[in-house]
Amino acid sequence: MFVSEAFVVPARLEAEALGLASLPIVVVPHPMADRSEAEIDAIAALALPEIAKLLTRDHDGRLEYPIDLDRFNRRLRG
Amino acid sequence: MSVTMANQPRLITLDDDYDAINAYFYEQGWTDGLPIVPPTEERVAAMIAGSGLEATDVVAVLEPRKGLATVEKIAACAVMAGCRPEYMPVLIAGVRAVAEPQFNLYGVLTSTHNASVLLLVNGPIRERLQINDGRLKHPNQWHATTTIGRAFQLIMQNIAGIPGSTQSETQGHIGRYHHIIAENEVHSPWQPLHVDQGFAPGDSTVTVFGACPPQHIDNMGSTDAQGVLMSICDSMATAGNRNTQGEGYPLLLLGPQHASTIAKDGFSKADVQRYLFEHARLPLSRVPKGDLVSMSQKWRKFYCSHNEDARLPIADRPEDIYVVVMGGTGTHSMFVQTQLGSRPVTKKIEERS
Repeated sequence: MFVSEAFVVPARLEAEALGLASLPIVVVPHPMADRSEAEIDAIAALALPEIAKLLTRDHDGRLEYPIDLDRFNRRLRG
Repeated sequence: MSVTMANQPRLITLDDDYDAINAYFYEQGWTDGLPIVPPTEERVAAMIAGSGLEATDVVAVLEPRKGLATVEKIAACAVMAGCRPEYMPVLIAGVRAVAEPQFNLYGVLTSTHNASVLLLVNGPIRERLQINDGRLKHPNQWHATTTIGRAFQLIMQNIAGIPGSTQSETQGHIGRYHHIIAENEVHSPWQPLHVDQGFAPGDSTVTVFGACPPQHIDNMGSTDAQGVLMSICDSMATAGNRNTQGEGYPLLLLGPQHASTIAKDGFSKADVQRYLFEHARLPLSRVPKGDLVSMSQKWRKFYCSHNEDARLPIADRPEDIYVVVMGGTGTHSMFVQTQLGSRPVTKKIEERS
């Protein structure tokens, strides 16, 4: 449901192995490890509504939902 | 030809052309790049017979693919790698071992860590099959070592994982092609690992580790235990060693000469473990501030909030440091850091046929 972009292919294939080939996945930027707390907060703030949307209502059929990097950068700039 | 890579085995028919069959298997992502022995129905059946089990017996369900590791699929990988049927019990035991939850195969196979499942064989079977414990130097003695090691990685790739995708290690690891050793029980001054684990000396076992590439440790000049151990301690306790960050299970492969030098000064294996626990420590002042986030909660509680003089151990307890005698002539040992969150597992090799 939620992976960084470097792990999209393994996540997709694991979803298929679990019989969930059409599982929608929210994709956040990679890497995570060297990001500041502010960056992580910004990613979470953008990803959470997407995840909630996919959990609570029908999605539009796409498999991957990357977060909006322009909004991410704007949010970081404050 | 019976091809059993998918979760449900299926039979495919190919022309009887070795090169074309190899090209097909390579294109499907089922090989490691080297030519394979085509897993025909006849060859797979003979390999299954070597296990003493039924083709459809499920040995384990393997993460991350949730792959059903049936005897038939394990046998197909064994055929592809060039194994002989009598090698099957080693592969079966290894598959059972990595499937134990505490081993965390999911983490070992999907992490960016340069880790790979390392098989360590103990007991009489290593002598009978001639699995390398450091004494085998000539290539014509490497059949079991090469083919079992390769077969196990094909099992990881084709049954546990998803070819070309679930292997995310940063640099790659030669151990993803082949990773098996045996303990040099003949030249060890101590009882072997499987006896430490409670198995009988006459039992044969496989122990699995989530192992990173080994680090060579040289000490040619020391003639006493403390001298050799000082080189070893200093090689293990480094800021880049993940085992200084929390509750791990590092593996020391002691060359027989180093082991002998240590033992003649009255050190038992438990003494070596205790010595490494006490002295293979990383001063907290050597850890970059930014990397303190990598420490486990337990390490933060006990070490990271004290003062700069705190010294981080390489394991939670002395007995969590695995000491194994391996190798031949020479004043060299090796240290293998292991993946945090993966606990080694030992399983008995059951020979049924």
